[in-house]
Amino acid sequence: MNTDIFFSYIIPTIGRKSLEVAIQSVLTQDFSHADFEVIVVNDSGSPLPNAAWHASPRVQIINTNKCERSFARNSGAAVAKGQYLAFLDDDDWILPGALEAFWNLANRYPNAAWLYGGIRIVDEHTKVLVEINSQLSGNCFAHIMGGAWAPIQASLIKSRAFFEIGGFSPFICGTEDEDLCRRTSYYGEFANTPNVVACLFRGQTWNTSTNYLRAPDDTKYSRNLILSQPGAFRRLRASASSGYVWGRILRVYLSTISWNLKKKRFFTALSRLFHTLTVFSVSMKHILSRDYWEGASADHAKETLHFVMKDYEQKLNRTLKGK
Amino acid sequence: MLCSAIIPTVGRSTLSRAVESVLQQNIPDENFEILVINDSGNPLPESDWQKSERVQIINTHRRERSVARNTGAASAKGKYLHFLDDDDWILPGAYQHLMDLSQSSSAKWLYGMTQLVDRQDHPLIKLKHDLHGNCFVQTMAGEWIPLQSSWIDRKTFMRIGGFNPLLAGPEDIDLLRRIHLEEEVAETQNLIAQVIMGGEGSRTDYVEHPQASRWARETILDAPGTRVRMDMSAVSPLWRGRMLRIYLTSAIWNVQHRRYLTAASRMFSSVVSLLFSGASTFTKDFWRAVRKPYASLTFEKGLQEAQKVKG
Repeated sequence: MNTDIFFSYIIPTIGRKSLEVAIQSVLTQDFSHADFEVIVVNDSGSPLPNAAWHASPRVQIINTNKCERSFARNSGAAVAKGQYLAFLDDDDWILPGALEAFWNLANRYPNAAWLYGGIRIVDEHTKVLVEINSQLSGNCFAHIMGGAWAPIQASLIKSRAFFEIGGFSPFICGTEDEDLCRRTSYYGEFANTPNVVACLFRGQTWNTSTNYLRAPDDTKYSRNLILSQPGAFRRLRASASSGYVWGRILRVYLSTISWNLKKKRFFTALSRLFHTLTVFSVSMKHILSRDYWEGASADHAKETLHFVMKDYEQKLNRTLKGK
Repeated sequence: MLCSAIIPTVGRSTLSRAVESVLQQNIPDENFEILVINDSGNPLPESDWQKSERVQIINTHRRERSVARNTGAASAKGKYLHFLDDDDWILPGAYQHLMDLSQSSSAKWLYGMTQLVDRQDHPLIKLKHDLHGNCFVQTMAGEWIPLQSSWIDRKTFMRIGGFNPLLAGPEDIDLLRRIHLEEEVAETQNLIAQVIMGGEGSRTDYVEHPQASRWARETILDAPGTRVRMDMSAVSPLWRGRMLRIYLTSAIWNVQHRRYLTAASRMFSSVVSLLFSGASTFTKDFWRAVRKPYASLTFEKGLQEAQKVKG
């Protein structure tokens, strides 16, 4: 067995009871190819209740003082020794065989910066609501910018890549994992396993400390920042493989124009307009396809939680807002 | 708790001196804590200070200094953060002076004077900044307040996102600028810290420094409210001229990097800045400030005084 640490699972917690499930789901993995560790970032401001996992030599606790989740996650990453970093929340868990699947994937695609698999969504009776896997690999910058979902709970990020892109952005609250995914897709390649590796709970008793009201603006801010990076357009173009994806790109540019105008950044809006016209002219051959316009008109990309569970999410959001 | 001292270390032998200099401060024990961020990858050699209840060690895994510092900040409990390096130290009474200042001022960045020393601890120059309130244009132009002599409000630090981990080297000045964009500063006329210039084994990448620093400044110029804030802090012809220079040099830099629309937007800001300068544009100071590359006033003043003492 290799004694270097291969995986570091970083689990920030605000003290939810479900933390134990998350930690145990990692500790009980049947995996012996390499070593792994769990870093619990206790951001609750008070000590964690005693539990069996405290005794595990694989677990390390660091205490942060009630900061944003991105700060807590970055602190966990700074302490981590693993070649790959994984981020779980204290109400998610990974499925048996996940580490094995990731190990195989990492060995097959040693250069990929982001590895991910399928995700299962369950309700409070652990009834499976849906399983999602967008199955993207290679350069998938255009897909991810267009809203495709590679859920952080079902992903591994190469530690080097994580630090080279600067970790989670502390300016983004709640959707900082999607921002990280976008920036990783700008930076490097993806690899996917068809295995379902992680589980998310979205029952009626689900609650969240995340302020999702900020999410739409944060998303636009995040995308706008990435579009300003040198070479972003070239990379988008290289990865746009279908009419649908071209449609998504068109939508991204159109929405950043209006966002920049709203923020009174007229010169940036003008530059985005140039790019929109370029997108339109290079994707001319798709213009008659239905996929293209479907991509350009849909609010959410296919195979995302919002798209697959639209009705369910709406109902859930209403209940959560009601509380 | 009033203050958390955050000391990242790469394992230099001077660490003990830095930690002891904080432990020996004469303010009540419950008012401060020390977080040593051991980024060396090895256990720290045993020392007396490790027995102190005030000290906590966090082991990070050989990351950039900004990552180590942000990790310390995330764990800190103090109202203010004090970032010290493992080869610098603070003077007796320093925390008392800053504590007094914190009671009389609501500024989010409190600081005092800094003594720069060489590697043999010979005093070089003393930095006395004279920056109060909104001094955004001054820091944008290149004035710099060492972190070692500063207390930074923790909530403000977290709100603006902490140190930028992608900047190795100019992350200090970048933080300074981002905080000054929104917040005020206050000064105490006392010596706070001794800072070594050009420390041995420094991991700062000084080759990448100017480029990274430029990128960081461009990002700040893009932020909303930058021009108005600069306008308010540029109260003399000299600083009006500096402000114009900032926009002009940025326009040139953006043309060189083929960011033509950004360059156009900077030219637009230059014109607005020129129009707002009004009567200042008739003074010599204004045009001298526009023409002359920046040299820190604080540094110049410090050098003059040091030469006077020698003479």
